[in-house]
Amino acid sequence: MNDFITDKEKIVQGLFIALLSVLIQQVLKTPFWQVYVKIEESIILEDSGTLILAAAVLVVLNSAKALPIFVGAFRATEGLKKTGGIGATLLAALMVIVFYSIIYGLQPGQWNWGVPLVVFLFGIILLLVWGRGVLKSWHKIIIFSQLLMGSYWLAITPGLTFIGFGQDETSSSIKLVAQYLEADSALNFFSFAFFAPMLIIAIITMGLIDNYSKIIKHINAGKEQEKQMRKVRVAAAQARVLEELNALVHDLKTPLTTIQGLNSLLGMTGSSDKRREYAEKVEASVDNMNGMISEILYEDIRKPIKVASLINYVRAQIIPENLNQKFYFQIQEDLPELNVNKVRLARALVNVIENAIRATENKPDGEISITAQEKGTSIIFTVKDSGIGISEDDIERIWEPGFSLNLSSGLGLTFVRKVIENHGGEIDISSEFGKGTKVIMSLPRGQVEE
Amino acid sequence: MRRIPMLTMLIMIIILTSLSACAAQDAKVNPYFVPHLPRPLAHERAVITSAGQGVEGLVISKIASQLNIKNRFWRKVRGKDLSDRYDGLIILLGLSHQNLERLKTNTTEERQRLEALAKGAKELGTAVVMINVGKLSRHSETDNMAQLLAPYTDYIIVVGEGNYDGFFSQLAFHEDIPLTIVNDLQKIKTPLNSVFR
Repeated sequence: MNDFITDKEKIVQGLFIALLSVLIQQVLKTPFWQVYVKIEESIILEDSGTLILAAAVLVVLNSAKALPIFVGAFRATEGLKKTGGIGATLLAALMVIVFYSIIYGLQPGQWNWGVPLVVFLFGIILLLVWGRGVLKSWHKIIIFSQLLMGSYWLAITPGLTFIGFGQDETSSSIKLVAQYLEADSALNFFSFAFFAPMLIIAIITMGLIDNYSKIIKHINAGKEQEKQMRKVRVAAAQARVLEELNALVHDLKTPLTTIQGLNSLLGMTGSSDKRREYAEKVEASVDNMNGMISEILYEDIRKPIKVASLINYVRAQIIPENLNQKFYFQIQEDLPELNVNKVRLARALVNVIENAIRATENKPDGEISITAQEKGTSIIFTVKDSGIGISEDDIERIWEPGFSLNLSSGLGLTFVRKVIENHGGEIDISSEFGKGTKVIMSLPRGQVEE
Repeated sequence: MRRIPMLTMLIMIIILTSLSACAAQDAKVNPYFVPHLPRPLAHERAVITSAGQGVEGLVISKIASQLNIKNRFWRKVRGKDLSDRYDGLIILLGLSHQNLERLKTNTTEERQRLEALAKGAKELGTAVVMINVGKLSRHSETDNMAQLLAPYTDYIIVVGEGNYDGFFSQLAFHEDIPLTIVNDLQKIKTPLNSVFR
């Protein structure tokens, strides 16, 4: 059964909509009586105009009564796997037969399948074949309104009585009075004059809806293409920036080498101990700076560092936006050393903390907590803030290069994830809009403790 | 040579006998078909009502007026409402559930009203004419009402295809009632006029 049904909810919705016809039948009872009043008025006044008006009112009321049946039946077909297939046609036919029988069977009086059959066949052609059974509900309402308003004129066409159209009491009465008023030809003409244009309008409307659907599809495809292009452009820009940055940082090494060379010469030529001591300190600083530059340039460079040292290195780079922002650091004692690219990992942590700072800058009680603890084989870094949070729609896009909530480059979190993943770790972000955001970064101990 | 003409004559006699037998059977089934009444049943005023509250009653009332037949269209006329003023009662078969509901009645009450009305007419010696301005199919309730009224009916007029299944022919045959069938509504004027003139 599940091979045929893909969406039970739509089938239930279809049944519910079709059931509305029973309710509408009760609501329209009094207007139907008014049709009889109009028919009797046309007899008394011997006025065929009043009779045609009564016929028009009857067409509208019959259409209103039948509309939920067809809309419901064709809505239910959307719940099937193949929306435009034979199964859908059979389901729609079954629902139309059942609900017509319920409505007209409960209501005494005779009727026949002429009009429902005409509407059903055109419904199949227009909605299931042409529209591939996936039109929106309001499209169905428009198409079926037009088909019903046209087809119910056939029930009051005296010229079609011989093939069984319009056997119900009210339609028969209208045709009888037309015979009395010798207005059969007029009623034939008016019925056809309404049926044919309404049918043509339904076909034109279907064409317009089809074109509209195609245009929307093209627009969406264009948007998707543009989105992909933007991603590619951002990635290219990111690559270019990194390439230029690498070149720039690499160029820093040239003057450093000069400083280092001249400093060693200075240390060798000088006789003063003090000068030699300073020259050694300059030498150490240059080595340090050289190492940092190497870490920036080469991702794979790893050095052992204590977690507390790493956090202190990060703290030194944090600048709060306002004095009300409170920072809490909780670092578990005796954490094992990490073997990481200190500069890059610290930059990643600073990026995350800067995001938290921006999220809490306009909150009077803004709090940011940074914790580091050992869990199993991993060291977990958590940055939690009580800031503005991220909406559900935005949280799915935060990893996209170029996406930003604060008019920045939109490359920050992409960089963070890249650094964490390069260290064999994982990053997860959860957020509640208006309440805050939590970023959990885990680095596997086994891999970092080389 | 003589045998052949004799044999031919024998065959012809058999065929003609069969045909006349069939014609006699037809005459037996429909002995009450008349184009109109040979003499009037009423002279003065008629009460016209619908059996089933369809709009047919009002239509026939208008046609009767066009024929200068004095009449009153009375939706819910009862037996006790009849008097010497009316010497003709025309009952139109035509069921409309919506009109019954609109006039706050139902088929059971309608049947009771019609039976009492027909009985009252008979007691007063009022001529009862039953008319069906039919369509391709009739409601079973219309047939019930026709059967209920038939014993009190003096003349039946059927318009259009209401007798498609021979129902009214059989009714006329069994109840010994003259029956006129006309093709369309406009042709009812002659038999209707013959009831009063």
